[in-house]
Amino acid sequence: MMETATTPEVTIARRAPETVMRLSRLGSFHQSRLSFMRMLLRRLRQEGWRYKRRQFDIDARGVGVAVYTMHGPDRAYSLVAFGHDLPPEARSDRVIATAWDATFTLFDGIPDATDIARLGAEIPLQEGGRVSARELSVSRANRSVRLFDHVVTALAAGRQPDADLVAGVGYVMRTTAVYGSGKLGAADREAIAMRPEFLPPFQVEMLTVWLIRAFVLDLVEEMARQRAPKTATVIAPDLRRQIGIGNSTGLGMAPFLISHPILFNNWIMAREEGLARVRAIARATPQTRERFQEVLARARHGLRLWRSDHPVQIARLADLHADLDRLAAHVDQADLSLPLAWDGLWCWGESHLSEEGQEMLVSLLLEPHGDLVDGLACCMSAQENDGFVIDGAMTAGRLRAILGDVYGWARDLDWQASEAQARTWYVSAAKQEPRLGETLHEDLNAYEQPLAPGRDAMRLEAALRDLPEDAPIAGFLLANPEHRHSVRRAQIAARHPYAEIRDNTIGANLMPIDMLRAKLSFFGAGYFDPRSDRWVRINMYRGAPFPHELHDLPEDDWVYPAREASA
Amino acid sequence: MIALSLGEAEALLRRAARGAGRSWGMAEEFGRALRWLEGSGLAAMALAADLLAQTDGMADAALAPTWGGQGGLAHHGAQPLCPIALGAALSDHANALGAMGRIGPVLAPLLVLPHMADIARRHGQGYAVTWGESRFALTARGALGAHNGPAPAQRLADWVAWGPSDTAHEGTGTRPHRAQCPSSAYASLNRLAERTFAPETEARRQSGAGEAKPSSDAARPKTEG
Repeated sequence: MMETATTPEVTIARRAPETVMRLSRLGSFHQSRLSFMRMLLRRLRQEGWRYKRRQFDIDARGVGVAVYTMHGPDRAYSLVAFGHDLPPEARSDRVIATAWDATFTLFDGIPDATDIARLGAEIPLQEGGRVSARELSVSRANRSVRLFDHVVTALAAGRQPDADLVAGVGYVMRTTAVYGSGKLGAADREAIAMRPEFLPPFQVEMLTVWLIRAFVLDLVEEMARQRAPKTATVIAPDLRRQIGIGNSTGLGMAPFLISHPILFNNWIMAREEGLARVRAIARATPQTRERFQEVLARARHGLRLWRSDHPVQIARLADLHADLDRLAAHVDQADLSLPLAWDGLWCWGESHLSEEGQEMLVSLLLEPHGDLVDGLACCMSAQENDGFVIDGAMTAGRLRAILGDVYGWARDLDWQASEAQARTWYVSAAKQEPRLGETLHEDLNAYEQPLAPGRDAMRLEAALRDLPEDAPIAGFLLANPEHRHSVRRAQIAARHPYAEIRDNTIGANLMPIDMLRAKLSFFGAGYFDPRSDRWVRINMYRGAPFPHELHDLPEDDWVYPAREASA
Repeated sequence: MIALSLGEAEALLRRAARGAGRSWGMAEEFGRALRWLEGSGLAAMALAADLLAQTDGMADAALAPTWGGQGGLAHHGAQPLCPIALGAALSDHANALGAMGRIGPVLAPLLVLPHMADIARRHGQGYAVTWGESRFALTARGALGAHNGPAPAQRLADWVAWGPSDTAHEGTGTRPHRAQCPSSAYASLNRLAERTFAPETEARRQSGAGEAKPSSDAARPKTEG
């Protein structure tokens, strides 16, 4: 509302795809107001969704069933949770695991006893089971060995868990998969996509994880109570909120960004549009300037909780600490009441901050401007189908121009060099999961997945060489069907500037975690802790309200820890 | 009968078509076509499994029509046309083709409908598609309109014909969001799909997903916090 006095008077272009769509920059993204977790909790709060724990039959070992229901204006959704007693030697985070500490499904409505009996036979099996169109997601989680037992033991003895240990780990359980969108027989996205609550992307998955977190905290408190009913206590609310849900994400997620080009474009486009709108604000109001200062201070504080042992991330975190120090010093002496001050700050950031710092600055600039930014959430879904049909009337000349525009970076690479094609994406027979092989050392050619758009575009360009400028592409495709997927991608990228990663996805220097982080940052995950070049640990919902207190706490103010909270 | 989500049906057909030797781009057409058919309530999984078994190992180009210049698409090959390769070619040439046409012989003619629906939507014009005793209407919005009888399991038609039709009206009721696949077709499609998966070797197990994830964080170095 305050922005009415500062309606944008200038237009500032969104950043160029050649700048944004590089892997190292995508791998520097942070959560923002446009993250899917934050959208979900804003909606649930604004629409007055009510929470009810309908069932909680869990024993002292954590075994049993629980049902958590959220009631919205038109519909209700229930997390059905199954607790298991897993021997430590059976605990594995890998997608090939066969047993978990807890398994979950998000049920469309309120399950009756028959539903729960059916789900009890299928959900604990995960990939080994089948669900129906009444189920919207399937998920599982494992205990953190470091924190789970500590919390239960402390609570049973009537003590609070060690705050430093809580801060260091950040979760008592971590999910190892959250399947939605028709996986394992669950409802297809298109079956529910028209419901307002599921219009933005990944809301089913985000709701599932948020309710899992509520279950997990109830679980440790209940186990402590059953272990020592006379002495047990519960976790103090502020400390409790500091516990999120951990997650291990591996290569399986990386191809998603390539196989959903329109969806990915829409995510990036919304964020870039948000940044451009903020930069175009003629005069920052005192309220937004104050909010920016507050969030910056809290972000600096929160940064202390972000730890990693990975050399790459250690270096990036060091840069980010320095960046935020520099940013704070700059903001202290800059006059943000001058015209176009946000744009000035952004331009300063582009020349003074690392990529991590610049992308953090994007998030910080969006933060005080919910009125300009939050509405972009509705633009972040996609009908991937809409880009599917190839325009066969397009001429070879036009296609060549698109290739030059979108894949110009690929022309600069020597594709004959082994470094350029060092990796091969394939799917393993063992678990039908995406994997990355060494092209030179493994005979994977026959199994290669189409996840190298840059190289394939260069192959297409070479095949087009002798075609007349005005030749329609339809005839070429009849004779050269092996280029069909590349033509489709190029036509999509021509209409959707951020659809294509403008970097080599099979090069020797590829860090698949960059792709994972880009996606996870849009989910709203934080505390990225790479465990190798191809899998990363994250934290979700750390600091967020629980369902029972959603309406008692400030709206959407949980991501950056309050300064007085203990580190 | 196995109930699949439409997403599962699409992924299965994409992989199976690739496993049967089709290009990635054509495999994508298979997946999307089956998604449209099953989503429109036309049972097509068994027909698609048959089609892929019958054309296993054959290249897209051998199963596609050729461009005959002014005359439009023509077919001179020894093999009957693949309905997906034909549909993709029709869709690609949609602007250059006359409003009416006829071509054959065509395998599993039901599978040509999804691409004809695309053409109807792009032209904003209802279409009628016929072969043998079958007649299917497609609406100007690319949806399935009236048709006579259930999805025909016909495996070969001498020809398929199409032309504008103003009688096509919107289909009734909500579209189903599940695919129904007979077990034998499911097994057959999976056998083809499995060809796209690289056999596991010890080296791949070690390296493919990165260093093995430890089974528990208890084994982590103390420095982790």
